[in-house]
Amino acid sequence: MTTVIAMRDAGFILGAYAATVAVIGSFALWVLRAGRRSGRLVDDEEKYWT
Amino acid sequence: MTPTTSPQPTARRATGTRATRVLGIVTLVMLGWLLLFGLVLSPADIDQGDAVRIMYVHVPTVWLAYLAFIVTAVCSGLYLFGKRHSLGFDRVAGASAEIGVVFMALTLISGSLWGRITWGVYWQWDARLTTTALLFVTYIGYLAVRGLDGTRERRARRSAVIGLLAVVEIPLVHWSVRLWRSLHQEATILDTDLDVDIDGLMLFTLFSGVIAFTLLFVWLLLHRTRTIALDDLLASRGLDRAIAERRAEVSSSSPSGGGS
Amino acid sequence: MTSPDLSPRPVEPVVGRRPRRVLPSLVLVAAILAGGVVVTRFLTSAVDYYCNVDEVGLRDGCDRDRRLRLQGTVTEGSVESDGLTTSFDIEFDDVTIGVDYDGEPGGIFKECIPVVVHGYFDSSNDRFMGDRVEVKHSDEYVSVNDARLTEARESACQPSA
Repeated sequence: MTTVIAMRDAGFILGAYAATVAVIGSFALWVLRAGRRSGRLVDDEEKYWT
Repeated sequence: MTPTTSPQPTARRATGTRATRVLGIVTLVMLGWLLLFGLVLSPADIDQGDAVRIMYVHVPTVWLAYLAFIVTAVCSGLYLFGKRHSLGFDRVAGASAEIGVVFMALTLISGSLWGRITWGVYWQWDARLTTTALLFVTYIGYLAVRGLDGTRERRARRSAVIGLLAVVEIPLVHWSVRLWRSLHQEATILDTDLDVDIDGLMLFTLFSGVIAFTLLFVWLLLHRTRTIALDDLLASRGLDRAIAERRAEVSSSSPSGGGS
Repeated sequence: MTSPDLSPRPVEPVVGRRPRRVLPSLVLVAAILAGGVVVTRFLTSAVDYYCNVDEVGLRDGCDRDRRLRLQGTVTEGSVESDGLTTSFDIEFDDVTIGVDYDGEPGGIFKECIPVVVHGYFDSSNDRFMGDRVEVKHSDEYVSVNDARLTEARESACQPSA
């Protein structure tokens, strides 16, 4: 961990990874929540993946 | 529009299955693997130093964005030219474009941070960056068109046309560094000379990133497509209910009370 | 038989509905405007991002009396700094031009690396007065730990042509 923080331009590099994790995490959560919300209103027999 | 349908007794599952759960876990492991190799185990570059580590998220996200937009185009074509004009293809096309836009946004963010280290500026209007920005804006426009008013079929038809036209920008972006004079370096892997000038561990880390983001793309695509299918189902239920209400009005207003 | 009344019914205003319908149109307009800006920038700036050193005064758009972006490789042993100004030579296809940069280029700037220098020619001494230096990285990636390090260093200073 110390190596990672000590590397040159660590702020920009870690920023790129942090942005990636944050954006993908937020999008994935949004997708899952939307699916859960709509899934509650539909019978399981009507879901082609069940 | 989300109709207020009462929850069904047998409605339990959302968009997940056992397969997507396994896929999700494997994706998380691969993303952790990428973080380990990208930030710790892979070496610094002789010129770029540690800035090369940004490449392990920058390159996979742009490749997956390309793939996502190609999937959108293929499914748009299958919807438009298929015999059944299946809305299933349209759903995959829309879901894939959404994921592509997210990946493309990440490409632009990570690329600008890399540019700040290497070039001294976050952004420069050179050929690669400008064409990438155009591709990003085009697919935002595509998603906006999907949200416009109209019947489900009409929206699917017009977005399919745009999905087919927009994909031609991808070769323009990829070859922009060859077609015009660009500040951006030429492709190292997806190049025509097949001469891959990259250190072994760097290449391994890069491909770890490609695998991790490919799994993530498939996982997101499955969930998002199913969510869109659920929303379509609920919207059509709302329409069915409205038609039933109109029929009931006719029945109650006719002299016989039941219509004929 | 009485046919059903299919005319649109008055809809009670629902909070949040109107913005949902308007938003895609607004996003579409914004995307079209942004696309227009991007295409304009492409045509005015991106098509020919730089002039190579050997094209100065020869190629259309690479005239000495205008602001230029000049591309060439930093000549080995040419970088000097007096604390205020960094001087170095850049070369391309056996043509060399001297550059005076106000300050330290920073970033990954060093000898034997291709750069794009923004600036203009000083007519009094024929040197290029740079106010921005961008390193043009190659498509090669070499580990600092690599056994080929020496080899890479030796081959790195091949002036671009």
